[in-house]
Amino acid sequence: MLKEKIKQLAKQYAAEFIEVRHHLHANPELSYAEFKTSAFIQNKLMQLGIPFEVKATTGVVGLIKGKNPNSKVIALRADMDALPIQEENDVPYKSKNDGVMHACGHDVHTTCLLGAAKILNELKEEWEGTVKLIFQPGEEKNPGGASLMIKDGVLENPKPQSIFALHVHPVCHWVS
Amino acid sequence: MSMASADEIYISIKGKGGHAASPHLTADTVLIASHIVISLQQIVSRNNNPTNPTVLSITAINGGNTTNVIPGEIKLMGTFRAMNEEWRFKAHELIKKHVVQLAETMGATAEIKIDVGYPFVLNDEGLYKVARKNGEEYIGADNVETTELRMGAEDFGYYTHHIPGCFFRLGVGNIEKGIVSNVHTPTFNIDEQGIEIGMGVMAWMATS
Repeated sequence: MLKEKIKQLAKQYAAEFIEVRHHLHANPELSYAEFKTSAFIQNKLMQLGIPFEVKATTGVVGLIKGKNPNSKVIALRADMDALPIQEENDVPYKSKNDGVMHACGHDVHTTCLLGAAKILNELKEEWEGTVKLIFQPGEEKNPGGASLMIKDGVLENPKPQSIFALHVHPVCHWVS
Repeated sequence: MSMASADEIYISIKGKGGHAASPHLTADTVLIASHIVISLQQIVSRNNNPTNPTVLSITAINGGNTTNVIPGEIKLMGTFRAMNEEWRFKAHELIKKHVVQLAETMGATAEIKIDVGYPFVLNDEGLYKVARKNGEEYIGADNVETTELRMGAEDFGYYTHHIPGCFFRLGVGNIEKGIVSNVHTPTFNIDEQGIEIGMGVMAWMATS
């Protein structure tokens, strides 16, 4: 069953992607200046053999085709910029960039999307349609990287039927 | 979970400053600014339909630097948040009118600029159901909850006004391990066990 295979691969690759997160966390970049982060993502996709395009300067859009690739297109989106905050965590992967920190979890979003890409790519004979991977810049600052990606055609060729995004939620139960 | 649109408000109130002992020879920009700050809340409480989530917060008042001078200018800043595009832009016009006309009535002039930011996140009802079902299948119904509306903003909203979208959360806190800091703080961190779930759930969402 596909779900069990996904779970198995997620477990198998978890340690690898925790390392990916450590790398991204240690090297945060501010909105619209995510050049090294973009290069890192492009490099990862290249290693996985997933074709991609660059959009809105630092954005990256990958495509994975499953069975019947024209039957449907689903987009998954992650943001990749950090905040102008000085990190106070005492961890081995603490931010190396003074005054810049992944304090909104965009390192985690990018990591999860790269991890999902590896899993989806490996199982592409077992699911239907096409998955569009959207790594976008500048979520934290107007005008918003999403608006630039849309202007640059991220929702065309192929046009997704729907789009999902994941965001970290720091508390176990919702408090407002 | 839905999130709000967010627009930035910048106001400058200019009037004839002067000696604080002779207010009749001035236009008191401090008093006028105070009236404007209070009056703007009327838009939220009286013009808005009470069932429609809206926030207007004035977050900065700047001007003046001593006790006996009425300053010639006061600057205000703030944020306006909503979850309805029609109301959002109607409110912008009401805000501008309140500010400009109130200042004029009281003998000063006001300039106002509203920087339009992200639209609200429109979580598609059908996709929400799909996402919830997928989440329950992947990590069990006990581990999935529907979060409340939030007045924070997310530029994911842009996509959701073009195609159906769903924004979902991955729980990454862990009280037992002391991982409790909120986002946008210098001590924010995650329980990295969440990464295995996050990458798997994303893959599962895309295939089902």
